[in-house]
Amino acid sequence: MPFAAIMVHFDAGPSSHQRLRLAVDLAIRFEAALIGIAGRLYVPPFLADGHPRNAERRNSEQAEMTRTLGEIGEKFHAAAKQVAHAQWRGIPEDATGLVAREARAADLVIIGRKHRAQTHYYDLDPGVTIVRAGRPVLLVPDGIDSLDLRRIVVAWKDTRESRRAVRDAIPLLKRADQVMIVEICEHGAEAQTQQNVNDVGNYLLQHDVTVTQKAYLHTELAAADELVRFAEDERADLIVAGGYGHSRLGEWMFGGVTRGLLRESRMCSLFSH
Amino acid sequence: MAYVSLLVHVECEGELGGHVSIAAGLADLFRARLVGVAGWAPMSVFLAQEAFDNPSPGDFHLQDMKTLLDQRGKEFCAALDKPDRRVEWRSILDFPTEAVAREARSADLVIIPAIARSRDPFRALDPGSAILKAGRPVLVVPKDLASLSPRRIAIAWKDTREARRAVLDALPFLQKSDSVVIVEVLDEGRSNGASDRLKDVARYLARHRVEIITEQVRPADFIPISSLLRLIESENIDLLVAGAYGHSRLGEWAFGGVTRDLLAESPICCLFSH
Repeated sequence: MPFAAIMVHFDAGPSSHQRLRLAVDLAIRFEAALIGIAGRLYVPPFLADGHPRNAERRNSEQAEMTRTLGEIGEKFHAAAKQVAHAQWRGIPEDATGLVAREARAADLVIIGRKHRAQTHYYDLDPGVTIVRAGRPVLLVPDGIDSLDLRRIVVAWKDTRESRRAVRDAIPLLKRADQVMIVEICEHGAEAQTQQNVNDVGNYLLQHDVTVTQKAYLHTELAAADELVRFAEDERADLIVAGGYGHSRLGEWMFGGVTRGLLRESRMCSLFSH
Repeated sequence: MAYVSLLVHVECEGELGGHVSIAAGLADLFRARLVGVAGWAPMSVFLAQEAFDNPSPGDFHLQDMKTLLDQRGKEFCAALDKPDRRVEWRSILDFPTEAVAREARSADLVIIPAIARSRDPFRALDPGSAILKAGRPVLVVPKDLASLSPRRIAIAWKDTREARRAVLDALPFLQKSDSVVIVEVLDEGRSNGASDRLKDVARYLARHRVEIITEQVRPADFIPISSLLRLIESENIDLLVAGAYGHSRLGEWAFGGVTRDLLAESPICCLFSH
């Protein structure tokens, strides 16, 4: 299905105005509704309960958060004036859980990178959002405010996540001039890799997406570095990849390529889990 | 995206089965290509596909497998041949569950039977694992069902990744339906916000031109799936859309109770996403 609704995390933090500009532009191009979203949770949960003084403080902070979120919403609406259907959801709770849950209302979720320097309780965790949203997640690096869809690299691997990513990316791939599929391959597995990549190309052709280049890469560097280098050499606008992660003892662990792209890529990435 | 390519699992022997008829019907409904896939793992799974394509004269067993699967492919293509229908065949020297999951890359929807007829572990598909590994929506067809007109569809909603996926994956079905019921079965009677959640899902669907929607919040029964089974019966539901809950634990797949029970007991086709 083409994108009918796009969700963007906009918390008025660093780089989020650029991200919002990108989202507004994408919503206009796809004639999609745009939903802006932010969460706020100032009080660490372990302090929130119990002490009466804390309860009182929580009430006043709750009111302040609601007011702040309303102000951010006004900024959102001001920036999204050209979008036919713009909607704001500012809710005083943890941003990561909130965005994953509200992703039910959109076809694509646009978020930014994690800022390690920040310690606010309203930060969004990009990795956790990718594995929990159940929607493709577009990760926009800092400072990027537009997304050309001319040249797209699809990072293929024979996994569920990768199969998801290819299908989820079709609305974007349909608008690209150049679609390149690459698989990181071990020495000796070239024939199998070629067959895999061809098969994905044939699938995309059924959806009227023409793959212009199929390649496999041998890794000397870490897979993520290799991918990013390929994409940069090809002047790609976007990397499409599976988002690998699983929960272990309540902590989320991420695959190497996912972690690498989350931290280092200077271009936008689309992840599916 | 639309369903332009469907994949159906074909067992290695016996009748093709009702799920293949349903797959053919859906290929016509969506004007999609239909790919039949059969998997058969040799005793040694380390053999390369090349050995299978060009067996040396000594590999009597492999030669037999190849002949049988080729015949099966001809049978499949002949049975489904019809003007304006594109049918393809793939046979793979691997466990059917692995074969179906891997070949899912070339399809938008996978169709499998709820219960494998074969008891041979080298030839029997495990529906639960196929659902969790495919990365595509999987339509599970109960035994003895050979036709599907998906006019009345129910969505089993829950605020989870799997259910969000299921709704998105089911859009082509939902867009062709006459009516859609979104139902949330409450955990332990807590209803906080359930009707707001369902309205939000309904608005999302409306943006995709799915408009005849009703929402229902139902209390949980002692047996979790009986609430869903009653809804299927009372509302004459043709197709149930649901998230498939499961995870791998020590290499074994463990399923959520509702998913397991639906696989075993649903009288109608279920579309699962993970």
